[in-house]
Amino acid sequence: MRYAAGLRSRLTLGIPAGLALLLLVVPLVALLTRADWARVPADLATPTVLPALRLSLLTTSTTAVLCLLLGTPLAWFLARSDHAATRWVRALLTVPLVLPPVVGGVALLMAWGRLGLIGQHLSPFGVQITFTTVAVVLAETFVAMPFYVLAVEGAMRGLDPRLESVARTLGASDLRYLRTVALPLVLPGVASGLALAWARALGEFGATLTFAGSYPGRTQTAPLAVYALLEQDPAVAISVSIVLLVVSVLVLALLRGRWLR
Amino acid sequence: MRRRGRGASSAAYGLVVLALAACGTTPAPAGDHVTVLAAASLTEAFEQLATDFEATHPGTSVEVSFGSSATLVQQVNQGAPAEVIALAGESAAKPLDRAAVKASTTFATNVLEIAVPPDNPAGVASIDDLDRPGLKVVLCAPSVPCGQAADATFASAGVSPSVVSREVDVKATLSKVRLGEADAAVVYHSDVVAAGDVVRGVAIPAAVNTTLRYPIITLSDDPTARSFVEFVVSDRGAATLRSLGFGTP
Amino acid sequence: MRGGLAAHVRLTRGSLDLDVELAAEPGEVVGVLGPNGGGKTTTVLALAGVVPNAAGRLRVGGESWDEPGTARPPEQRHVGLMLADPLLFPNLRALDNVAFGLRSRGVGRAAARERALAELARVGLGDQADARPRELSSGQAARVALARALAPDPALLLLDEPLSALDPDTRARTRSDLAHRLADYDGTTVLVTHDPLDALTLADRLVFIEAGRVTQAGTPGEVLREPRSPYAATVVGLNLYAAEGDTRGHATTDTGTVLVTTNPTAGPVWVAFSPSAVSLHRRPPEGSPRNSWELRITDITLHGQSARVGLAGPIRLTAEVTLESIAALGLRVGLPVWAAVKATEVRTYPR
Repeated sequence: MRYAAGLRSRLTLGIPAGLALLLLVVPLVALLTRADWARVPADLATPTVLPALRLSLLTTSTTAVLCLLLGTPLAWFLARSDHAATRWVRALLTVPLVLPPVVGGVALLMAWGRLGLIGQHLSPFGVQITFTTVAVVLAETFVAMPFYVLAVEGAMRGLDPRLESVARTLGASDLRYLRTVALPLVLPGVASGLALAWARALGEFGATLTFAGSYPGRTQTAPLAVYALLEQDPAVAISVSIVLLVVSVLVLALLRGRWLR
Repeated sequence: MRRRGRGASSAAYGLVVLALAACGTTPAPAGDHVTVLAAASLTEAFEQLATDFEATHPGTSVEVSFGSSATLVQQVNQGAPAEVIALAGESAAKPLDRAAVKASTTFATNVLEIAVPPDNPAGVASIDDLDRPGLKVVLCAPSVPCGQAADATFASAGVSPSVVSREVDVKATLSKVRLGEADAAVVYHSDVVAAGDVVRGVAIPAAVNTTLRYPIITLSDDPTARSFVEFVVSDRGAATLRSLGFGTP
Repeated sequence: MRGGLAAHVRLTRGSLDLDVELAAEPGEVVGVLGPNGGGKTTTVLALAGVVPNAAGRLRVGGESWDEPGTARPPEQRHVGLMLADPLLFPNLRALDNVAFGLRSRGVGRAAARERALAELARVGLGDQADARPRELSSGQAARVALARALAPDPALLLLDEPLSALDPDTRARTRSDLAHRLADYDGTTVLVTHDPLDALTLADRLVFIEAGRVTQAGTPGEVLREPRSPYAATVVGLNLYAAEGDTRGHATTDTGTVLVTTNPTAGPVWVAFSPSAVSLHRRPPEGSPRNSWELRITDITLHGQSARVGLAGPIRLTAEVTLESIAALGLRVGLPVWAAVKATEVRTYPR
């Protein structure tokens, strides 16, 4: 009796679990099996794809650097503060995580567009952000930074606050403590945060398309190229998709193997 | 208690399965229902035509889905359930699976026009102005008809515009001007008409302009689908199209 | 050469209302004792500047570190802080941990290295300079933490239960290392501890903090002779009662027990006698003892060759007896016994 009941409950859980797995895995397997691996290298060298990959590499790396330079101090303040406002800031930070990317793009337009909150003050100087590579970086940073900040903040909250007290009695400024003790100790968190943010930036599509437009070599990143190619030359689109998939899996493997465990 | 719990969970699975099944099934091709795919540039025209058709053919319903012609053709080739497809230009129909086509006829024509913001901050007065450096010109992607037509027009005018973006379809292209981000966009005359006051049109001379001939293609033998196509090419349909900036054959 | 410590710590933190004054000469070690939650650690953290000393003052070495409204942050005080947990920076080698304070204060790399190495050698760890904190034993880590706190030569050294996390063997050795090192140190040391042995062997002066107030301050000798709170009496191992004395040799405790003494003091008094002055009997004692009560044994703990017997009844007291008498009298928890103290062993002093 007991055994039968166990089997039934195992099935009750096992069938939906298997379905969930299928839903996630089948599209990836389909993509891999549809790919013509032999033509991938040649496809990547085509005049549409190469600039897109180069642009993606450039913008995602810039985004990662921005996360590091700007996101780390933000994570630092969030991790140290117990102020009520901190909770609101953190909640605000998670908004871009769940926002539909197109909405993010519209929001970016409202801020940085020619008539936007900030953009209107830039236009008189002949500066326009939209349709530039800068816009791509802004869009990618908008969606990727929260991943980075939350990862690093989590790591920093794991630090013993007494370490900082000791460091301060030893004459260390905030900056010195951050540089010599806190950052080295949260390096795994920084690295996984960077990898997550980078991967998210690489996949950014909706906000970029809405805010930065799509022009080869300037704002057409790899995902935008995939979308454009799907109508012109689906086989090449599949090849680029394969590359993006492999890179994402590599990042994940790196995270798993090295830092997440 | 346990029995009830189990009952509830299997009911939940039942619901999920039903929902999945519903997602997968298309509404049965009832004789009085037509699914139409139409190019983005036809948005206003086909919304009007569908309403008029339903009003004059009681008991019918028309469902129109809009997108770039290239995307729509892809969807039909992938098996999208549609009885009628209307495309921006004959070249857009070329990749369409021949076997699916029951009948095809030209129902409208369209020409390109330059759309600028109402205050025209860049002072665009003709197609020749579009190669000014620093100007922000937005075109449709080269994969869609309005993009190909724009490329052809610029080639015959001998102008190399300062393009900042190539958008997925004509509506996205126009929206960049409506948002004030671009100084000019090359779209269809019908789009400028449909947009009303929010943009201004700058005509492109017929000598260099590209005229697109819009085919409407029947993909089914369904009588309601046929009668919808007949309605579109009728005098009343043609009047609606002309009022929205299209030419008629 | 330096000025000493003059501190008034006044703050509230949670349910703790702290109001404590501390003073010490340069080179002195102040032992701070008291029950948990009484405010010892908070006092130390306020001296370090880590916890705001809301209404207090602090002068060290002739400089004002803290006045109401103008408090120096920890990094601008010249303190060394060492806690029970050594809290070494796990990513830095022992040498870099010790050099950390010097580098923070602008000492050059080479000079800081040299000083740190010398500091490590003084705590007997010259050969562990390149060790990572996780490679050190608990005793070694504690000594590195001490070297790190002392390397920048602070004017005030704060040690919060520095030995409490160590096992007994290591603790004994580290205590003697600490004693040696403190002997060479000319700044003021505040040593928070639970351990009477730490207090009596390391401190020049003792301060008892209970429920946010100083209950007694004095030299170890004074405290040993005349503890002034039940907690202090426990630390020095005396039986102590608050009582009202008269001139004829009687002292009546708060619970109404009358003790007879040969050195009477009139008025509010502390009454003290040593556990070793208590004798235990199975029958009512005969002869001279004037103080005798029938009590019940509540607990028995062994200390080497002697045992401490906790007793309760009309009066609570601790008796110290030999292991032989435990066996001979058949003492066990719950047994009623007679306890007797000679009047000559009972001392009284004003409260």
